[in-house]
Amino acid sequence: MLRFFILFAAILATLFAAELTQPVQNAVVLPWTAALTRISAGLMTLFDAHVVAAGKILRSTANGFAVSIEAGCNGIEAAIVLIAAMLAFPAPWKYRVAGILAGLSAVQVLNVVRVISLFYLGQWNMKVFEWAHLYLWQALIMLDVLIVWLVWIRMLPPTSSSATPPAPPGEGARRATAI
Amino acid sequence: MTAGAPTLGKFVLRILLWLPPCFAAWYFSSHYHAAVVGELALLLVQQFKSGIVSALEHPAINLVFVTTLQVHPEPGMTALLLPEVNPLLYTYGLAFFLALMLAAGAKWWKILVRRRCTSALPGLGHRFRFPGTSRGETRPGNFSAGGFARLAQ
Repeated sequence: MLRFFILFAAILATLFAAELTQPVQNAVVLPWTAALTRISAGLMTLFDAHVVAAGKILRSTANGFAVSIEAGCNGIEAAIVLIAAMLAFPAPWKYRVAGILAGLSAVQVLNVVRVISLFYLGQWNMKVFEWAHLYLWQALIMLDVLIVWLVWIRMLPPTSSSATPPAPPGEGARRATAI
Repeated sequence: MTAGAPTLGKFVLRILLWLPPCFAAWYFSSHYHAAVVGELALLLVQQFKSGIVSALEHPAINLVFVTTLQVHPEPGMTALLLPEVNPLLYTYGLAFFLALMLAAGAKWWKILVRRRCTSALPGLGHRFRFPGTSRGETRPGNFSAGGFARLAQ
């Protein structure tokens, strides 16, 4: 358990530091944020023709309301937490890679839901938007990360590690191969 | 697995059911835990730079650290740096944490102990986010409360 926490903290610090560097910003963060904006706009145009995307800005041509997807709202921080947790946990590499790929998809799918919901919440009520944006969705995204990680742990083969994994709360030390 | 222990699905469902009341409790008690977090942040700041913060103000939910740092935005003008933070940005994790503990059926004393421990972390956040949220305000003479982001002669 101690090894897990030390590794988790070290990987987390490394990835967060890397995220802040200009090369990573240029190569990963900014392109991903722009892609997230386009994906969100693409989905919204299926039911709302008044949505346009420009760079990292989503705008409604109906009322001029716009949101800018900034650092912290692009799901990259949540993805870093998930990657650190999966890398720090003792598991075969093929499970790690598969878990990271599937986990990142799960986090980003929910993040698209967050962006779309906030876009419409903001047009409805700014107080509700602020509350959901600053507090509620932050917790829900982290809950998503936690769930993905717990599901991944349950899918690990029982012989993957001699270490006892941190079991989901209330479930003792049992590990299951299926959810 | 112990008898009656929740599956992952039930655990997640419990978290989702606990989240609304936990968020409500967190938000409506924010004035109190923000004060605790502010005092912890102040304590940390004083450890590293004693005397740099002369007072901690608590208007509504926000925390305002009245520093002794002076800036001169224009000739003849002196402003004090008053970093202002919304502690709720850093403490929403308390509501989430409480929901997790309650969903896991943790004992009350464990919840209280761990909440005490986790409330120290937002204090660190305030300490290290100081420069990003600072603003100038003139405070000639004494440091009375009131007035935000105002530069006066």
